[in-house]
Amino acid sequence: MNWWNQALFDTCSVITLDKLRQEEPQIARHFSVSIKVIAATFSEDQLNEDTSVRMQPVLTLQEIPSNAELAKFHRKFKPSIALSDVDKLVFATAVLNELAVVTADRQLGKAIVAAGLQVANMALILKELVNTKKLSQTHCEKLLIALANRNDLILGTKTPTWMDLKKHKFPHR
Amino acid sequence: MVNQTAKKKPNMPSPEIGAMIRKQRKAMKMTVAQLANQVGVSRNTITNYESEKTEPSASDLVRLSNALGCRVEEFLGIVAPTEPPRFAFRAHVPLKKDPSVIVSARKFLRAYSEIEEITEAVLCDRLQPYVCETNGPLKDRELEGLADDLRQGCGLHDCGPENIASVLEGLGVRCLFFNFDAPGLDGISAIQGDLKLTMLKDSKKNVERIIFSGAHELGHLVLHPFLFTAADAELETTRDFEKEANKFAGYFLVPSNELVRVWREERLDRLPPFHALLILKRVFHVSYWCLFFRLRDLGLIDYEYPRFINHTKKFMSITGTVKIEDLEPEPLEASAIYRTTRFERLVRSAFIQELIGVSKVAEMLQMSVEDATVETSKWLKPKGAPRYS
Repeated sequence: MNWWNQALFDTCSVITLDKLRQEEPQIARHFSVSIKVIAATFSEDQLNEDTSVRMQPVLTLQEIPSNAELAKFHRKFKPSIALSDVDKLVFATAVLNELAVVTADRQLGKAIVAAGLQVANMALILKELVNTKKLSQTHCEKLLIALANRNDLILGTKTPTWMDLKKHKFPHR
Repeated sequence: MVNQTAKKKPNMPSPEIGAMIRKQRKAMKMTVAQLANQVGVSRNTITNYESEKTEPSASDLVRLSNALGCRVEEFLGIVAPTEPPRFAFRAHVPLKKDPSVIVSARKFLRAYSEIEEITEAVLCDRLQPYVCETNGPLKDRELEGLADDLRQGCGLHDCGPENIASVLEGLGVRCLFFNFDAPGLDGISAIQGDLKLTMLKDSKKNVERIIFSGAHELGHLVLHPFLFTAADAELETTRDFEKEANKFAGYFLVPSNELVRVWREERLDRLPPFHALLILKRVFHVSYWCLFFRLRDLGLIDYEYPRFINHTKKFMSITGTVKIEDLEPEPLEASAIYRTTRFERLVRSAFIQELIGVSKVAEMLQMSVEDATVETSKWLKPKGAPRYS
């Protein structure tokens, strides 16, 4: 089983996964049918309604910390102001439940690593699928371009290549 | 439906959170019903939170903080509560019943202060030396003197009134364009602690009004700083603050000496006033009506307002009733005004440097994460950039 199927996904990663599934339905077999997310991911200021409707069947709500736990967490870890309120909640939930995290945010990624947990973004997951021969390089490049055409620049470029992905590092450069 | 596998732990009410929700709601002048509507829960739910019968979950706290414009950490007692922004409300009485603008301003002020901290970009307050100390009504000569001093110190002459946002920012006033659909509301200012914020309506038409509103709000910040702190009951009722701010804006955008110079040098007195004003509009880039009042105050034209409206309607071949904002001959193009603001530039810069991610961009710009994904992709691949294979 792929490690990311036990991980907590942030909103951006859910959005990317949705786009990947629309582009290539077969990709779904590499992902769990119960991806972990927190409830805050589903508010209107996070996901558009159509994405929410498409992704809800494959998402599982992860229990979030109690307010007392959250307060204790904030005092201990002092999450950066560079993180959004929802990402701070993802951070706290991951740490308190000892979960790996899939996120698009380098700052959140760095915080998760500093807390001693595993982290990746969707690009690293695609790279791992190629490295484990579950996906061809050509197919992967096609998916990266398709994502870019859907305004999801997971490698920061509109014309991503396999070489870009090969060189890609996360959360630290 | 999303699978709910995890068992929910019973949340023991924490006395501080309920009291804090009530305090924040009251500070934002929001009713229980309004907050419930914003959060998407029943009124009973909010009442139960406030009376500490039940405790909101951490996700609910995120939604409550979003609806009230405060930080989750404030509910948790991690940081001290921030005071809500203070508006000069006299001209915008209807806003008192609709707290959404205050919430939006509060979120922008928080975002602004955070992005300045993240990017280490400090905005100096250059407005303070110009702030008027007088409490009583101001005479025209005093208003003109204050406007002239500020005009000379702010670079308006160099960047032009179309760049009113930049002019305000140059003085240390944070400026934003916002979409708020309230009749007659073209701009509003708020002060929170040391932060001064002016929000201008991002309208595609009546660009002249946006420019004038920027100068008008600047007038309030310079002439009436006490309006942002005093309760309505404490203020003089005889003083016309709006009229003073309007006069200030007129002097600021159209200084008397320059207006008289152009009027005389170009012999505009020989033209019908309608055409003279259109020529002046090309010089000063302000509204036709602003120029009308400035010329009339200087005694260069002698027309009563209602008569001049009819005169203008005749020139524009308009019959029947028309709103004054629709009576703007040769209106400036929507693109004439520079809508770029320092705030958006700082957010974009922080994103490009990967100091913040898409989720934080969404929070700061008050848009959904999905919309922010599209917006940030435009930043990474600007329009017109060549594609190399």
